[in-house]
Amino acid sequence: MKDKDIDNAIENVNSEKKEAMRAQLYARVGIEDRREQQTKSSPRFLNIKTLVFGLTGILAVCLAIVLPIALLDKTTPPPQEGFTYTDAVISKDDLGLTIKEYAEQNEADILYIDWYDIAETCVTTKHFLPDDEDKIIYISEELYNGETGENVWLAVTDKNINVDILDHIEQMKGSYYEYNNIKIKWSYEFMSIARAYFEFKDYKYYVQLFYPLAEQDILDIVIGML
Amino acid sequence: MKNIKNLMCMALAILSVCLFGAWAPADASRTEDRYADATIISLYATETITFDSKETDSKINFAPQYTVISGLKNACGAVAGTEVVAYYDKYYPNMIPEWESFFAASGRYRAQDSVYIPGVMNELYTLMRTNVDVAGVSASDFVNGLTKYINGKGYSAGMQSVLSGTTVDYAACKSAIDNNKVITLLSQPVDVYSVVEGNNQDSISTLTIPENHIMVASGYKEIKYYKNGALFRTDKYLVVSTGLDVIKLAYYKLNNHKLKNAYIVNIS
Repeated sequence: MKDKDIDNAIENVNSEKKEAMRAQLYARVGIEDRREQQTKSSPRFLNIKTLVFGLTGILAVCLAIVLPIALLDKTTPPPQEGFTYTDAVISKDDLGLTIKEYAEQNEADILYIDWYDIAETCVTTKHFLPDDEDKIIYISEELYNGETGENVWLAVTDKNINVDILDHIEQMKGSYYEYNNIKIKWSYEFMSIARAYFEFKDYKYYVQLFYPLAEQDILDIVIGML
Repeated sequence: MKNIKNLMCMALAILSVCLFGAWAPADASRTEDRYADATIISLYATETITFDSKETDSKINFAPQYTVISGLKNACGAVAGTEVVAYYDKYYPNMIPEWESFFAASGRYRAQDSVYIPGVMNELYTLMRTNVDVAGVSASDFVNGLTKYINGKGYSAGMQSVLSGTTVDYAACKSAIDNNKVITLLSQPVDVYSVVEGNNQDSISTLTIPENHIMVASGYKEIKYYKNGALFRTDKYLVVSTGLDVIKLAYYKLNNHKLKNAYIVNIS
């Protein structure tokens, strides 16, 4: 309290002599002049350098998180020979045509399953790159036979394009059947699903028959396409 | 000044905790596992099992295989629930009002149409509180939502768990399927399989579902393999409608399952 009393007393003295008197009095009573030290020892809480470095660091971290996410969709390459696409990154939408109609419209020699007259439903889907609907990777068509309840699924790709989930069908262990010089690979999982794979001219064909009524129904379907 | 700095740091810390607390799950359903969008990926891996003889015990009830309709996100709960509802529509009339999910002549299930199945899927999506609070659906919301839908059609629904700790009651699964019931599987990321059987060799191809996912089992298959007269391997599977595109049907192996919950759906 002593130093406070002295300070108050000095405040009433002429300002020019204040500091000199203060120093003398402090020395006499043995009080350390803490005002200068406090001023010198208390650094600025926020200085410009710290602020700049801090903001730069925060910005760098934000960019490191945001940029990879922003660029994610743009890293998918265009359809190219020999490239394997992951189905998870491919977009899909209604093609608006059956495979038969699409083939005719594009004058393409694409095979199809001719169940159109007996199918209760026919859903044809185009699977394409996320940034361009015209870059079609593959087309699939699912038909339900209204008479038997059988459900068949067909996918068609260009011979040079691979899709991982379709590769699963291509690479399954199975039996081989040859028809008109076309080698058909086919498999049957008891009562649950039959699959077939073959190539014809410029395209690859993947066929799945769900809950087949008989083991070789899948072969009849593929032969019907050829 | 030092004190002010300390005070400000403490205030920032408290603010961070408050912000995190406001974001973090506050009720039971938000602390459970969530089931959201899933994918299925080929692992390009095939195992060949060579044997002298084998015994197979299997049955399949041919449940529908639906996929998510356009506009719904993280909807695997709604898809699985719709498959359950459509399956039981054959046994409990008007489970889907004004529509029959099956062909009367063959008993096979119809395709996913563009009116009634989307209607059920949208309703279940809402009843299951999908994406409310947090992405996807919790196990309790899945069960509650499906139960509410079934109750709303005038039936009672009971979800009978077949999981005790990490053990699956395979006998209960078999009995359920033998009695024309289905089982909902709520799984953590897991491998599923294609099983192509041959005379002396079976080929098991592996796919993976790398996200939490809900599926519907309507079949089982148990295969016992023998060599030199001795049993050397037993594989037990449930046949599942995956709810995913392309590979709509797969085998879920129970020997090394990743189930968090599994319920027989009992309706009366």
